[in-house]
Order: sequence, then C-alpha cells, then structure tokens
Amino acid sequence: MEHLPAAIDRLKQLGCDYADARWVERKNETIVLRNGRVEAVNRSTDSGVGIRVIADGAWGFAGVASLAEGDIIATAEKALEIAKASATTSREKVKLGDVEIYQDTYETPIEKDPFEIPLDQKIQLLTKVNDIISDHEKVVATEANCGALHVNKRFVSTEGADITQHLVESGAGYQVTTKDGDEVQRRTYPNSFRGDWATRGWEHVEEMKLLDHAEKIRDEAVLLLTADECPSGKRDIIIHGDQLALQIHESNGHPVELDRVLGTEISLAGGSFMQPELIGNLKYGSDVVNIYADSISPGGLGTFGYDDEGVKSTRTDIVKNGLFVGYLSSRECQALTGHPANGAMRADGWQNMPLIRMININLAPGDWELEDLIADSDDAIFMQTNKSWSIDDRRVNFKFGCEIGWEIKGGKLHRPLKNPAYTGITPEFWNSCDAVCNEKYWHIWGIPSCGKGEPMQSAHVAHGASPTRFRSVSVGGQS
Amino acid sequence: MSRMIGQDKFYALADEIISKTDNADVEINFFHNENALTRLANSTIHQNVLKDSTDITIRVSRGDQIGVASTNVVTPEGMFDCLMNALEIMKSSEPLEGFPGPAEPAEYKTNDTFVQATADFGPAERAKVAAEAIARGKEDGLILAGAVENTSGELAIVNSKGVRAYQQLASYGCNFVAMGEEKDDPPSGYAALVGRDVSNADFEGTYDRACRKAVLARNPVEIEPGEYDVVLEAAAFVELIEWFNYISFSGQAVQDGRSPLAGRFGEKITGDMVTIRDDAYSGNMLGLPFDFEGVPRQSLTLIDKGVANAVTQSRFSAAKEGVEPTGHGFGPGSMPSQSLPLNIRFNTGDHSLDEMVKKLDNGIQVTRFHYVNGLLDTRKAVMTGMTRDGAWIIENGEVKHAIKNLRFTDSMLECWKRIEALENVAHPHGAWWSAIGSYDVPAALIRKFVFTGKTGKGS
Repeated sequence: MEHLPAAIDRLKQLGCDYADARWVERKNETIVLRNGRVEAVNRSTDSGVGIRVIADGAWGFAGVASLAEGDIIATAEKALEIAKASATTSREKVKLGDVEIYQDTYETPIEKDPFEIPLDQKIQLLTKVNDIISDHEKVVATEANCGALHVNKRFVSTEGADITQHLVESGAGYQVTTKDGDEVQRRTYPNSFRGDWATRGWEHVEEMKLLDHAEKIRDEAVLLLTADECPSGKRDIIIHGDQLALQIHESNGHPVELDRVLGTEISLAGGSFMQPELIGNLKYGSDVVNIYADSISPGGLGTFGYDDEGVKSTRTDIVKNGLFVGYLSSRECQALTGHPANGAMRADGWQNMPLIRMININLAPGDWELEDLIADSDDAIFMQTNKSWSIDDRRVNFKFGCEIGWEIKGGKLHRPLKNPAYTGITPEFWNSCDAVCNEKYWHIWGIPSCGKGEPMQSAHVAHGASPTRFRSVSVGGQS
Repeated sequence: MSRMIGQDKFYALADEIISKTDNADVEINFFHNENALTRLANSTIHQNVLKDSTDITIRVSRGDQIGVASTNVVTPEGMFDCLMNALEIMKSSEPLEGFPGPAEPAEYKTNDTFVQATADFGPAERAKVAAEAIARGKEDGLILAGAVENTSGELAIVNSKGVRAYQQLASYGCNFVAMGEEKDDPPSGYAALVGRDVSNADFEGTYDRACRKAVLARNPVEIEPGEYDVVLEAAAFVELIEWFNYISFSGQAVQDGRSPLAGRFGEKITGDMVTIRDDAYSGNMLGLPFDFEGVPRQSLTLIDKGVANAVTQSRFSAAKEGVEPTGHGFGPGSMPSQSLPLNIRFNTGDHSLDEMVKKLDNGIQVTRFHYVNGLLDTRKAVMTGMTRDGAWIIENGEVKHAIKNLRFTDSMLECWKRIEALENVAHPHGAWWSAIGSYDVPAALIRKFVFTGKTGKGS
C-alpha cells in the first residue's frame, strides 16, 4: 500500500511524538452446511488503513476504509486531532519502550493455499461429514464448516519501520445435536465453536481427518442422551487438551496481559490478580506447570512475523516450574514497567487500535502417557470439549462446562457422564496439577474468536495443551 | 462530523449492480458505520479512536442456488467485483433446498432513529465528559475508568424484486467504573447509559452514580454462598435476559431443539411475572422497522406471563416451518436460517428500586454480573456468572455492608418463577447491536437466588 509513507510524512510535518500507519487487507471464505444443506458460501474482502498517533503525550487513532492518498492523509490529520483531545486529560505522557526497528517481510509457510482448493471439493468433504453425523434417528441438527483467511499487511512508522506480511489461516469443524424428549446434547469435532484453526494451508484441514472421527462423535452425542448426570463433589479430573486450551486462555492468558494488569480494561473485561509484585513470588501452579507465550510455534493461530507495532515475534516464559515469571507486554507497557515488548500488540483489522492480545499461550508437555494417567487415577472424571465458560473480573473464580465426561474407576474408563462441569480458584487449581501428558498428545488449539476491548476486537489466538490431571476439584453441573 | 453516504447514492449503486445481471435475483445490503469512542482508565484517556467503515454484502440466487460475497469498497467497480464473486460462488455451490429467494416490496412503519447532535458529538466533547468524570472521582479519592462513545450510520436494503429500505441511525453510550485505590479488595461502582439523543444524556448523573456506589462498596466482607433473596439492578438482570434471548428466541434454536421454548409453546415455562416482548416501535430506543432481508419488523410477545408464545423467523426458517417471517432475519451477511430479536422489552412492575430493596429482610443487592454464560444446559436455561462492581447485604431493608463477589448458578426457568417484584421503570441497555436495537429492562426482586461459589484472593 504505497500511500502510508505520505501519511507518516504529513504527521511529521504537523508535529507529533510518534506515529504509525497500518494497511490491512483481509480476504475471508466461510462455508457452512446446516442439516446437510449449504447455508453459507461467503467470501468477503476488506481493506483500509489505521493510523495511530502520539501527540502532546497522548494517543489518537483513526481508521478509514479508503486507499486513496487524500483520504489516508485526512485520516492521519484526524488521528492527530483526536490525540490532542486525549491530551487534555492526560496524567502522564505516553512513552514507548525502545525496540529494534525492522524493514522486513514475512509469509506464513503453507503447503496448500486454501483459496486454491475448489469450492466443490470443500463442500463435498463437509457433505460426507454430514452424511455420517446425521445418520441416527436421535440427531436433530448438524453443522459442518470450513474457512480460510488471507491477510496482507504493511506497517510503517515515524521511526523508520517498514514491514509487510502475508498471513494465511485455515480451519474446520462440525457439531451434532441429539434430542430425546426434553434431553438435548451436543458433540463437536475437533473442538467446539468453529473447530480448530491454524496459520497453515489446507493441509491443516486434511490432517484433522474429519471423516474418520464423525461416527464416534455422532455416537457420543447419542450416548449422552442416556448418560448419567455428572456427580457433584470433589474429584480428581483429567482435562483433555481441547478444554484445557480454554482453561489456559481464561485463567492464564488474559490475566497476564499487562495492559489489563495495569487497569486499562477494568471497566469492561476487568483486571487481573497477577500483579507486578507477584512476578517471581507467586507460586501460580505446581512444579509441573510450565506455560510460555510465543508467536513462533509452527502453525499456531498466534504465529506471525511481527506484531502491529512492529515488534518481532519471540518466546516468553510466563510460568516456569510453577512460578509466575512473565507477562504479555507492549512498547508502552515496557516503558511503564520494564517488561519488554514481546510481540503481543495486535489489532482486529485496520479499523482498530492494537491492544495486548494473546498469541500462542502454551502449557508445555509433560512426560505422561494418557493410558498411564488414566490407569493411575482411581476415582476421577475425564472431561472433554468446552461447552460453557465463566470467570470473574480478576480471573480468580472460574467455572467451565464440558460436552462429555467419562468417569474413571480403578484406573479404567467406567461410564459416560453428561453435563460435566468444574469450578475452582485459579492458583489453587493450577497448584493441584500433578501430571501433564507428553508431546504425543500435545496440540496447539486455534481459537479464532477472542474478544477484548472497546470497541470490541476479535483476535486469533492459540493454546498448546495435552491431557492434564488436577487433584480434588469441585465438579458437578450446578456446583 | 458524520459524513453520510445517503439513500440516493446507495440506491443508485445498487440499481447499477442489479442491472448487470438478468439471470439471478440480487439482494444488496449496505451498512455504513462511523464509530467514535473515548476510553479512560486510571483517570486518564488511554484510547481515543474513530473508525469509518462501510460493508456491502451481495447475495445472488437462482431458484435455490445461492452465492454471497461482501466488500468494503464502495465504488461501482468494487461492487461489480463483489457481484462477480457472488455469481461465481453460486455456480459452484449446492442448492439450498427451501430457500425462498428475496423478499417482495413492503410498506414499513416510520421510526426516527437518527439524531444529528449525536452524530456530531466530537472528540473534544467526549474528552470533556471524561475529564468531568475523572474530576468527580477525585472528590471521593476514586480512580475512573470507562468509555464515552457515539455511533452514527446508515443501513440500506435493496433487492431485484423492488425492495428499497433505508434507515439512518445514531446512538451514544457511556459506562463508568469508579474504583478505590485500596490494595486489597478495592471497592468499585458501575453505571452506564445508552440512548439516541446525546443532548439529553445525563453523563453527570451516570458517573456520579458509579462514584457513589464505589464509596458504598468499601470494606467488603466475605459471605458464604447459598440461597439469598436478591434485588438485581437492571444492569445485572439484563445480562440474564440477554443470554436468555440468545439461547431461546430464534426459530433456528427451536428447530434445533436447544431452545427452552422448543416443544413447549402454549405451556407455562416460567413465572407469571415474566412477559418479554420484542418491539422496535416502543421503548427507550426505537429500532429498525425492517430486518436485513427487507421484511417489515413485527412486534412479538415472546413469553406472555410465563407462557412460551413466539420466536423470530427469517424467511428461510419460516418457510421451513410453514409460517410467515417475522422481520428478524439477519439477511445476506449471515446464514439464511438465522434470526433474533433486537429490541427486547421486559415488562415492568409497580415498585421503585428503593421499595424493592426495603422488602429484603436479609438479602443481597447486585449492581451487575460479570461473564455470564448460558450454555451449561440451554433447555433449562442454566446460567452461571459472578457479581462485580458492587454487591451489598441488605438487612431489614437497609444496606448493611458491601460483600465480596459471589458466583451464581441456576436455571432461569426456575429462578424467574421466584420473581416477586419488578421495578416500575425499564432502563435502556445496549448490546453489541446497540446502534440498531436495545434492551429495556427493570430491576427485579427474586427470592432464593442460588449462589454457588465465592471469589478467592488468588494470591
């Protein structure tokens, strides 16, 4: 996008402390089959420019859907005007931490461009899935989807940064709903809420083996109709990686966003109990809990070359052997706290100002085989696939519901349980963790819809996890 | 200053595109939106943003074969590319059996949903409100956070059958959280406001209320979870209703069997005090008189004195049921089966908020909830969530002391049977579609509300 430097030049001319301009173009494809019928084959394109300015020590931001030079320069002037309005209430002048300035390019490595796969091939795959998951009298609704995203970006700043990136995402999933009288149950694959996504090509969808799992998922949805209710009380639980991904997301990822910690999200998403004085002091989890943030894991939905303020992707330890050691940070937070910017500033398109967002927040694999972990559990519940989520405004008290549970008795899977749910207090919960399965069971689950900020922004994030055991957790549907 | 594109230009662009193809029906939706938001935290403005965007979605259909494409390039060339994309998709797609095609032209009621003063509310004016809120907080040693926002836009629905629908919209909103600077258990108070005419906005009353609540929330004590009589202020009650709407009132949710209303129409599913309507033509904020398919928006009584009565239907879901569409479809930008009420009005009662609080011998008053989720068991409408920004033990009708946050988990179908009183006024609340619709909800007195957990320190 050739007009970004002109906008930056104009802002330099008018006088500002700092400015950056981002062009973002997104091309999106969504295919949805509902009840065997193609309800959506949608393609969208969206492009525009967002300009961020610091003037008189305060932020201003404006975005425009036009790529015309005149419109972009006018938008830059508007961002400057807004920054000056912000300055009227500023308590402290905004400063940015020093980072290396790059002129570079980055492309998502892919094998098969998802936009090159013919539509009829994708529809055929989803139709075959539907044929299997709908093949039972108790099935009342099915949905199968796949999608693809291309993102082209350019970032230019008054400091001399000039970075272009081409990112590719692919994803797919399906769900089956069963009903018997008043009882309604659901199973999804490979994960709930649009499946599993990655910064990969169509090979990611192929490797999901959607068809191979369809019969089992349908049968589990039917089985749940007659399953016993999850009992209430204290139990050991083993959490499958697909559910643990959301547990990490809500109880670790969000509370280590340093802007949130410093209070900037307090009116909407809330604050965080993981305050700066707890770095190096809070025993967040047991010794087997190692959580790290990165934007470099191959295929992770939070993987890219540079964030939206030009900081190169990297890896940061968040929890090391159970000890809380790191944050997701930005240049502004670096200047305020000393925690280095680590490539976590991301904006939802050109329209929005970057915020600190999760990237890939991963629980490092342990050394257990899943079979051994089940055999080692005398009286436990194995819970899989998220159904509901809730956590308080400091990320301490949480409650999650799952699609399916399996009671474990004497080291063996005993019976299915419907409506399994568990609740806990974040550090108590993670300190009760005593076993993490090894890399054979480890997968980075891509979540394409993490909400934060006002106006609300949606980010694409990921969480690596494998089945993990927690001791003596409160379980039960209405606990 | 808002720059409207205007009905004439939208219609001209649409007509030009429709003229480019004579072998397919064409539906075009325009949504132009200018959103400005000033966000404050730690008693300073930390974000001040403006975004101006126009989304154009084109759905083409030939019989039951459809294709959809969208763009934000508002030029004849950009829209032509979008049309070609949609036509290409239509050729490759499978037929959608039962797709009824575009809506026929209809008469729409008139709703005035645009106020120029709201559209023109600028960054300096928003910053002034923020500065005044911050100054008010200082009087009580409180830190202010929140947002002041104004949105203006226009929506046009055009199709090759002759539908022409256009509406201008404007709305404002603000929310404030006032917090103490105590290290442990800092008190906080919350208040919010939405409306269409910013010149009538009581910003001062709103941030003052947040501050007064924060002062009252100091030194909270921990109480054990259990069953308590509660007064849920409107900001708390609306979160339950918003989730109930999401899981219950679409025809699709009924067809899939997951709605609490599915198979129970005409049956009493909850308490007498529960009457929920969807009505774009009344309430604090008028809504769109048509849906995104160009169908006139009907007013519906969804639950009538506890009895399951109606849900919304898009043209596609209505055709499947053999009923008339209700004017709540989401149109080309969503799946044809999707619909939802956007203008929920919960019936009011005959008590003031203070009168309801005075009826509590030993209960809890709740300002609002955090992170409510209604997907635990949608047939029973089981929901869970946490209190936040101010909850108090009430003894003999008087505020005794603030309490630390609690988690509730309960079936709303059962819980709402225990509603004893409703506030005599409904308060407007926004949602993610607040530029278009809104919720009007009163406070509620509910007996034996089930709290199942309490917050911990976390460290």
